[in-house]
Amino acid sequence: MNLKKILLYSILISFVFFLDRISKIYIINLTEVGSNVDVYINEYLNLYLIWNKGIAFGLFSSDKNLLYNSITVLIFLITMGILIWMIRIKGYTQIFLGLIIGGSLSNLFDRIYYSAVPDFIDFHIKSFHWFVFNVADIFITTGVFCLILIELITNNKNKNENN
Amino acid sequence: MKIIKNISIFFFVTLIMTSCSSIKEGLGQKKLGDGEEFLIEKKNPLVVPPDFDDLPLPKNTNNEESNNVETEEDIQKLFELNFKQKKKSTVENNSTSLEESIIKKIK
Repeated sequence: MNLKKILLYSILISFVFFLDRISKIYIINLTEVGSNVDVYINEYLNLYLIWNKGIAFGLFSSDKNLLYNSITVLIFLITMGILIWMIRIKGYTQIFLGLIIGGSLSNLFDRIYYSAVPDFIDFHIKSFHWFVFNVADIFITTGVFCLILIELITNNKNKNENN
Repeated sequence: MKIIKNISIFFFVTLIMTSCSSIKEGLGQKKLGDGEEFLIEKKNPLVVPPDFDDLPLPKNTNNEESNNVETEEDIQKLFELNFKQKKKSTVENNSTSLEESIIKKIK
């Protein structure tokens, strides 16, 4: 990886990281003013602040420090692993890995700084609510979704070439 | 097989790194798992006190009611008196102040 690419991907990771940070700081400041964060945007979207101590879908959410710290260390190790993978490979995959790293670092920052991750985007259709998520989650999910797509496409290409 | 392995790794990464949570947690419908019910102090059952028979009997309620009515009337009278006195004093004050102002203007 050359210097130009390192700079480019650093900007990408920083963009994701700071975009998520700004959104979270804005929501947390709303609570500090005194109002409860329950903002109606439209009939499908609300802003509702929830602190998540676990992983996705609120799993492993517990007050026990050992479990919480173990998950935090695991996330850190996986993020570092993805970073090494990003440096080693070439192509579009790097961009999607950058999105995942940016989002992951921001969630990791919250886990260390606030001891929980703030989630606030409440997407719902009438009374059916999807899990409350944040901006970092959007980037991580987009990155993983694109990686799966790339994997499927390259797998099909390889099959066709072998045939 | 390789593709299934890779995709499952990607799903695992998403599961670990994202932090979405259920709305039920935010609304407080989550069950508290670590309640310490043995820390709750037991209260003794209600018992009739031993000197219950020695306690004085309550007074007749009718007498008390009439007393209350009397005291209320007294209070009303007092208020009326105070009000009248205040009115008198303000009228006097007003008249003196008016006189003074006229005298000042004349001077």
